[in-house]
Amino acid sequence: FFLLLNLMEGGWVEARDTLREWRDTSVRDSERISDLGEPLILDHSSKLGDELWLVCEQVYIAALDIGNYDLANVCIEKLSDRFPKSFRVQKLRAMELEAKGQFDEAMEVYKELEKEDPTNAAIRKRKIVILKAKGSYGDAIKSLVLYLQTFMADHDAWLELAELYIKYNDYDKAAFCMEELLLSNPFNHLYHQRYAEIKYTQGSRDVARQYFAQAVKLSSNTNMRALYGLFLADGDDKKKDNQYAAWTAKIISAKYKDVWSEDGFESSPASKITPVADLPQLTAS
Amino acid sequence: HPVEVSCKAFTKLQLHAAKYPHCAINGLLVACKQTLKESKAIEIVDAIPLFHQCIELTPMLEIALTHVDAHCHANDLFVAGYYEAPQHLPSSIEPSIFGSKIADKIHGNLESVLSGEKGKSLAHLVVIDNKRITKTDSVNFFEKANEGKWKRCSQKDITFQENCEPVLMHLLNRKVARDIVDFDNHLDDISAHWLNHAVNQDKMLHFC
Repeated sequence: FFLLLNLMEGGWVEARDTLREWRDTSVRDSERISDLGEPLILDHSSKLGDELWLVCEQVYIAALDIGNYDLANVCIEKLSDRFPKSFRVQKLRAMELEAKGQFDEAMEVYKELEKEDPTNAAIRKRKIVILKAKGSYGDAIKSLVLYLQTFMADHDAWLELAELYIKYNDYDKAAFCMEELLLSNPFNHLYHQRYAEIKYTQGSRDVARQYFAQAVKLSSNTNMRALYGLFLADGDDKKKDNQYAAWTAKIISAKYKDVWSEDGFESSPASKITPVADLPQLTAS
Repeated sequence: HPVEVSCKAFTKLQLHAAKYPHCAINGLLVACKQTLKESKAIEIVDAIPLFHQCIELTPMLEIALTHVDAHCHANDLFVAGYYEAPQHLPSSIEPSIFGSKIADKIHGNLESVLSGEKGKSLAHLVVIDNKRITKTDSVNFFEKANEGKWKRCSQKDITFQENCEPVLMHLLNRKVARDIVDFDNHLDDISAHWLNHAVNQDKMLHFC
């Protein structure tokens, strides 16, 4: 609310910068995007220059996401006026059909657009999303696999496919997707961690341990999931030497001590998180 | 065993769903041991939001379960169930395969945790009906049948604390959903606690 009041005086700059950051990092907080973007578009559009069009597109999608069709209309009309015969604007218009659940109609529009430009990746992705939304996950997966045969450098698409496979408990294929990502992004600690989680779920504890360890190293000991994962994967009763588990337990305990002694939560017994080193030994499941 | 859902549990579960309307979510339901001993009722006193991404992976789930077990042990509580909300609007309300496995594990654990009580029909699996969200009837309870499958409970066995729905609407209007912390949030920033003390202490929750 403070941010909205500030927009009167010059807080519009902060709003514009926040929206820019959220575009770069693909944040999906549609309510806040609409709250920030609406006054920018309505009252400060002249100050945005060409960035106005990116903001309109971002706010349009956010407005559709929360069902604010009035705001969506304002955005799409502005875009339409500026870019009258735009392919991209036609795609955006079809997204309103998706938002309203009119999937078959939206699919028809996308098929037409695809005929006009068969190389357009965005249109193919919208078709896949419709299949997902309708619950046709098998078809969505098939389409996405086909898409990746052409657009094999699309990292987001590989991640999406991995997530779809995970949802359907096809851990083998999910692992394969992560392997593709690891080949092209060997220093990404998040990919190592996700791969380790999949391998652990499959029961490949040793492989999981290796990849959790890599993720810990690549993240300079900051990736909590990797730290916990390494603790878990190394905490096998049958092994004689659980040196990694002991080491990670120390690191995790230290991190919690740092955080909790500052906030004073340590004093309240009800809120105590048992330090990992004191946790009952996890039994092999 | 009749089930009583507290205002706190109901609202936290719904707030978790409201924070991530575009994701599948899951979490745990925690009940009071004392109430079970005294009145044989399962009083669900709290909901612990767990994840909103890659729900079907096990390592972080194991860590979360360990933490929640320790919390329950220290506070005379027990893990009584598991809740999940699907990502989209499915045509029927059914537990997911993965969710059923987690609920099976909880059901199995209950026998050892509650010495003296039979584990049968103590554990519950909750599937949220996305179309009925914010209403108490969006919370669908399943219990373990003799054949091992999770089947829908009769509505008459489930009661919700009075004023659940108006309290929830009030919290939603104040955007409290943004402050809900699930285990995924905790793993991203361990200073955020998955017990949600701030929400627990919200004045509105004392109006139930």
